[in-house]
Amino acid sequence: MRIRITAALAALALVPAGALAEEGEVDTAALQGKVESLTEQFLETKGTVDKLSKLKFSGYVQGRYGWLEATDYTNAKNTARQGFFIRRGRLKASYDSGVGKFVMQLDATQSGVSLKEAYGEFDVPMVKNLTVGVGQVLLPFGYDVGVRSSSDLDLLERMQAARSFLNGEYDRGIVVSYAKGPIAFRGGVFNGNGVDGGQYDNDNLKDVVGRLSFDLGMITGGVSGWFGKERVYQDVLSGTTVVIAAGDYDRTRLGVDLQAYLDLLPVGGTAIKGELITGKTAINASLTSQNIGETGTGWAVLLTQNVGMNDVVAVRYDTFDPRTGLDDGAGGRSTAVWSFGLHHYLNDAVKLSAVYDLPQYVKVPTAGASKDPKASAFTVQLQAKF
Amino acid sequence: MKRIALSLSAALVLAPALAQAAVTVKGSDTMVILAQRWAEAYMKANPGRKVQVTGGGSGTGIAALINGTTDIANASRAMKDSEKAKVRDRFSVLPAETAVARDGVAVYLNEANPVEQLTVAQLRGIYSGDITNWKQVGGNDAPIVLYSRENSSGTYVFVKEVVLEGDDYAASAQTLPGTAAVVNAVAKEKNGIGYGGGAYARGVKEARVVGADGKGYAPSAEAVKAGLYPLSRPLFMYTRGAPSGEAKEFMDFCLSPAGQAIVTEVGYFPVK
Repeated sequence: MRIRITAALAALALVPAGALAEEGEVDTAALQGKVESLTEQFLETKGTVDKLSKLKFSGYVQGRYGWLEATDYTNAKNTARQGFFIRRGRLKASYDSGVGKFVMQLDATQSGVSLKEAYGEFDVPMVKNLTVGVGQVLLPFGYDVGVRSSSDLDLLERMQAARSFLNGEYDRGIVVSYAKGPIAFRGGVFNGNGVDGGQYDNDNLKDVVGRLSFDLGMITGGVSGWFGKERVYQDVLSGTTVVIAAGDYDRTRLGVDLQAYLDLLPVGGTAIKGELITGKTAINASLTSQNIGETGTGWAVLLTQNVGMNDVVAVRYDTFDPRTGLDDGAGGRSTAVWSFGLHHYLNDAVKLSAVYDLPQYVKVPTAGASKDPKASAFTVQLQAKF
Repeated sequence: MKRIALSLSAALVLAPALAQAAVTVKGSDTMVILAQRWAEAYMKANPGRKVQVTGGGSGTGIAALINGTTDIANASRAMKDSEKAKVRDRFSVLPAETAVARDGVAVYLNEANPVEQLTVAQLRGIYSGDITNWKQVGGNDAPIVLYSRENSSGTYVFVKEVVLEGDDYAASAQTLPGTAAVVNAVAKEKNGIGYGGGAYARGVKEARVVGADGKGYAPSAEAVKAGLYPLSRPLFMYTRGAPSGEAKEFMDFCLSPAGQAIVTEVGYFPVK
């Protein structure tokens, strides 16, 4: 529109110089030539603008203040999320050519800049709704990681089992997506070590990960699977004791998720969501006897209630047992967390959130030990998104 | 006493704000005149009620519904599944779709153009850029000048889906900001062709479009209602969840006999 107005004004500006052969007489041929020239320039500019409009930028910044019940400065974990900090600072660029898509997403925080996503995806010719992507992509597993964006989390962080089994959330591989009616599938072959697992795979064993989902409008859900192996090349010793024996260990996960959306209350929509994940060998920066080959199980139930146009309250119960084989009082350690959240949308781009987390141990290693981890946390976050 | 004073103060502060609270309606340019006429009649029949209508295109209205800046989104196309999912993710409810009128997307030609009738395949050829001269479709030996809408327009999306079968418009198509601008351009350009709502066709002629039975149809009430005109579509209002409160009252008025009479007056076709 702006280009057209500029072109019209330019045409009018040129009229006195060239279009009037004599005073009071319009040289229509000259004027026609100028208009055609401007039309040509307009079409050229339009072509360039059309190409540029396929390139889109989006992103968000999450600035937080975190308060922890007990602060132990000798423990690095306890100093990680308190005071003021940037939780996520995302910038995403995507180019959609119509037959393919190219995406790159960076995460910039006080810890540095890391690559979250980088992939190319193309539509398979002759097959509608079938795409193939290659690169570093979001793991197609579960709802909390596979569907819900980090900018939309109702309790600001994902459920414990997702953070443990899908740590990093992204991995390198090839992914196929297909949708027909209410059914969709997204799955592929991945290195399996997660986004923080180094630039190259440490073995030639690949993991297959996928989610089959359905969308009936008011009810959505899916089942997810992850089947792979983790190879340990040589015995890991502690002194002379073998802590992890060389060999191939199962790295598997199974997940089920269900979401229901209810338009019952006059104040706004209600959502109830549940997810269960069970599996072996969590992704960690360094494997230990605590996680390799170990079976863990976690589940969470979340309730959200919209209140008017700008407010949402959320409550979640989230429990995770990373070593289901060990009982309470006999080496086991599992945690359940009640979380309470409130979100207020200041406008369509800015959201203020406050979340209180109340964790309790369900299993403790030794009988009689306290089940209060003294790890309650209160977080306030301001998110700006574009 | 203090409590009463506080309540009165609050009432004084809030009363003007509540009195000015309006139902906001945003979206389809095709529907903007119709929605304005509805709003005028509704406010006349219900003094004290306020309805604010703005255009911008179906995509703009749907985006406003998703980010919570409008109560009702007018759309001349159905919402995409991805757009519905965005409403659900943000508000935990599905958007409710209400067909409030029907429209026949008219193909505008200059009144001096001898072409009277086109097939959908010919329109596809013209708007994809494969057919560039009127003589290829039985007209004069003259280049075809294409006018189109902006990509935020529901009519743009409808023509892209139904006529172009998802393919891109020719690069030479000049995009104009509103159906009235398209009509105006075609009225002035003897080799021009454009498209838009039937209610806007002033100073141009509407081409007949060949239907499935091989006959050419103008976007008349009979042809649209009977499903014979190939470029007809419903016009929708979308709300977050089932309509409620004043938005529902306004929509009920739009669907009432008085509201549907306005549909006919404006040049569209009633659904009731």
